[in-house]
Amino acid sequence: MIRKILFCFTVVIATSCSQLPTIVSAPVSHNGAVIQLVEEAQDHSRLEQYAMAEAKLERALRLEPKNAALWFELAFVKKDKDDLMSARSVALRAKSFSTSASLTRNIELFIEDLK
Amino acid sequence: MPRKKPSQRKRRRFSWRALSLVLVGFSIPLLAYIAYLDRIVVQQFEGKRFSIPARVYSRPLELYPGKDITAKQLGFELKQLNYVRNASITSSGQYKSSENQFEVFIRPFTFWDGEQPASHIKIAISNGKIKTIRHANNGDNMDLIRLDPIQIGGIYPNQGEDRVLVRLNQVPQSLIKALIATEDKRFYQHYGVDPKAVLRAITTLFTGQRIQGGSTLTQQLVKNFFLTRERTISRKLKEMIMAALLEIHYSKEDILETYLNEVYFGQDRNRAIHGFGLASQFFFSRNIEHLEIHQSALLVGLLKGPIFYNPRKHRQRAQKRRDIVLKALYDQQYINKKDYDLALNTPVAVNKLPNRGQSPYPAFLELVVRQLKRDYRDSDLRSEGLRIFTTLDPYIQGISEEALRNKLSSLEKVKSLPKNHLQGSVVLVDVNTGEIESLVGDRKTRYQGFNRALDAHRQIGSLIKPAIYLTALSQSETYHLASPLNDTPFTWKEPGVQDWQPQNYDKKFHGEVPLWLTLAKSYNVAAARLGTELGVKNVMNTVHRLGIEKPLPEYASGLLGTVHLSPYEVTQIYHTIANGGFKMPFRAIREVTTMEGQPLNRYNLSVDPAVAPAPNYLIVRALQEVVNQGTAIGLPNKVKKQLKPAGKTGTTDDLRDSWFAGFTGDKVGVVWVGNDQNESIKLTGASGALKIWGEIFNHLPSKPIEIMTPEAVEYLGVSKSTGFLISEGCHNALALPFHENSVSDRSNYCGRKSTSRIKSWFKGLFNR
Repeated sequence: MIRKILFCFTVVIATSCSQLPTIVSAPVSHNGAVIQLVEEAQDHSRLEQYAMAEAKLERALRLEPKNAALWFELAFVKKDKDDLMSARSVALRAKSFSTSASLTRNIELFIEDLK
Repeated sequence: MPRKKPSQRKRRRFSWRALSLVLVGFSIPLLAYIAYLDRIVVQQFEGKRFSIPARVYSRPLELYPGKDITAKQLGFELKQLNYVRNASITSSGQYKSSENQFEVFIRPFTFWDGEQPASHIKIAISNGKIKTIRHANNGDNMDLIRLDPIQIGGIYPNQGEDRVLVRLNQVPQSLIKALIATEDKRFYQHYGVDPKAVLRAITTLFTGQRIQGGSTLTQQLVKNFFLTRERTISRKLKEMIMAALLEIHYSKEDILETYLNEVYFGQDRNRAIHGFGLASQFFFSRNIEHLEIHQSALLVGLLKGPIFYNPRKHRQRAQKRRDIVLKALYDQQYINKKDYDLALNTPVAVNKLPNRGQSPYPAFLELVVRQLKRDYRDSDLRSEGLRIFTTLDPYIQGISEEALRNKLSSLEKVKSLPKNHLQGSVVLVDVNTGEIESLVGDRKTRYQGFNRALDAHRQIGSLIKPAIYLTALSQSETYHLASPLNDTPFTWKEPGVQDWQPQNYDKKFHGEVPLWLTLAKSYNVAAARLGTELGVKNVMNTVHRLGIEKPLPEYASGLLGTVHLSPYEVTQIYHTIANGGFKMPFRAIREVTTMEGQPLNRYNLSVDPAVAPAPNYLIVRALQEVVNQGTAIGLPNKVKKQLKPAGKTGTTDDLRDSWFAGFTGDKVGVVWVGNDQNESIKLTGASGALKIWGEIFNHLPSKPIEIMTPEAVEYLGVSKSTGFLISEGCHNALALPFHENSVSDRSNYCGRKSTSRIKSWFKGLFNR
């Protein structure tokens, strides 16, 4: 659950307005190929097919190697398969690419949560 | 007369008895011998009949809108894949192109992560990028598709036998009919041996001719499978007995299928082509299912003499032989007159010899095999038909090979060195994934021998210096890029070791020089003094953190590169720096599947933070100045301008080794040039390896360095003339990054040494 919440926040842009704040979920990428691969990875992840999920995300990373959200997604898969050391390292890599304060914060929370 | 009768009777009685004895005497050992042969036949024919080599593939080319690719690159890939250029596209393995438009019928392929069916697509390229990919039949847009990967080699059984196994139901009827019509008309009637053919053989025996011809398909299979190629009566008899035994135990279909997979079709360098499955790919770049009648006939015709009838060398001879097969098909009413005429009038057309042997990339393949041997037995690699998916990019490999070959030859001419005096190697790795994209271990790129990229452990000279400076910059309270370093005479004394007095390459001393400039100009004395101040052990620890696992000597001269490393190891060091301080163990293999495509292993991407982001960022910027105004200034302008590369030259004593290690935004490359006998090559890093690196990156698709400025790093101005910090508003300033801890006071000077802190307009201007 925390994964879903955090990942949504990573790609969230809060738009302020006079009324209630609305949250718009930004896509992980604008590249259709990357979106397709991430969706496939998430499907495999749900089925606990982590090797396949990693393979799909690594393909996506070859297409967009500096996409922080992709690295973060990979960190989640590492965590789901109980490879916490790798999850932390990959999350740090995600953080190094992050240009969004909210994403950076969420990555930090994720790393905290690993401890 | 009467006397003769008893003696005749006696003689006759004796003859019958003798004959019986002879028969019994012979039949017992004969039966024993047949039983022995029977055991051989059954044992060898049961279970796995063939060793199937592991197939090694390049990375598959991913195609998606927005991908950087030129028409030249895509054309290269299709050519390497043996796609046939046709005016009309009707089946997979074909393509057509005009300028930036491609229509490709992609072959079906089973990847590690699933099967991709055959796809007929249209690709539009514009300004070096894929603009659209559409289905050819309905025009729908596609987001992503892969070309099948190029087979770049195999791990073969000892005799270099290669084959693609086929099942009988895959084989077109035209081929089976052609085979039977030509080689063994009575295949379905006899029991392994054709009596007529035996009689013919006996006749030739009595007429004193060599025993020849008349072998059934079963006998031919026995000969290839169990026996030697000698032509003797005993071998022939053995062959006939074994053929009969084979027919007793196995069906005609089983025998025919094995025959189709066994037969020999010639050589591709050190690779032996066996079986119709591989032969159809080898000669026609198509799977056996898609062979046409004239092609089937050509292959069957080749069986009589694969070298004599080689269609690539003896087209007319091959055509005559093919036409004999076609006539046999027609005479025996396997094809009608119309098909016969059509096939007869089709010229012999075969593809170009792949000429790749066991691999056109032996150095890379060796690395793959070494990595595989950690997880697989050698015998499994050579017999189980595993499919190995690697990271090699054939296009980049081609560029690396050509640059090394051409530049070494031209450098020999320029330096008046004997021909082949120079050797070299290249390692090229993707910065973001740690995947090895090309690896060259010899100037003779196809030579399967000493692999210099992996095994030439040489002194690395100044390539070690970034580790010294990185150690210093990690102490941000003490050192920054403009810290003044002493490049004045220096003697290092250590108990039990001879005094060490390092010299600069130009034999001069340069006084007080800012840190970044000592690296750019590769001043040995300043670096050695700094290294000893920091502690040799600490510097070597940095080298370890950057990726070197083997023990390193901790003596002072190691600071100037008397450490021995291979080009592969050096690449690991520079890769960590290029990758923002994150170490990634290199990968040459992505995945392994069984012959049928079932996933076995994956080799995961792995990343490990090794160096803090801020000092790593500073050293990258300093290494860019090596290219901008230091020892690597000789890189081609186009490369410098477009890619903003960073790197370091390396030269060893007496000009024995020439190194350049450098990187762009997405590639890190290391070039070594030297001599196998460790003789002088009269080249520095700048005059040798750098030229090759420049040539490679001049042709390589690559991206400029764009690293995000880490927290706590700000840009300040240094004097272009002195290199030291200057105050805000000074002219002639160069912006360099500094850790915010590094500089504390404002400077009031322009063009003078200063360690002052300047919260300047540079911050706003450069803090990206």
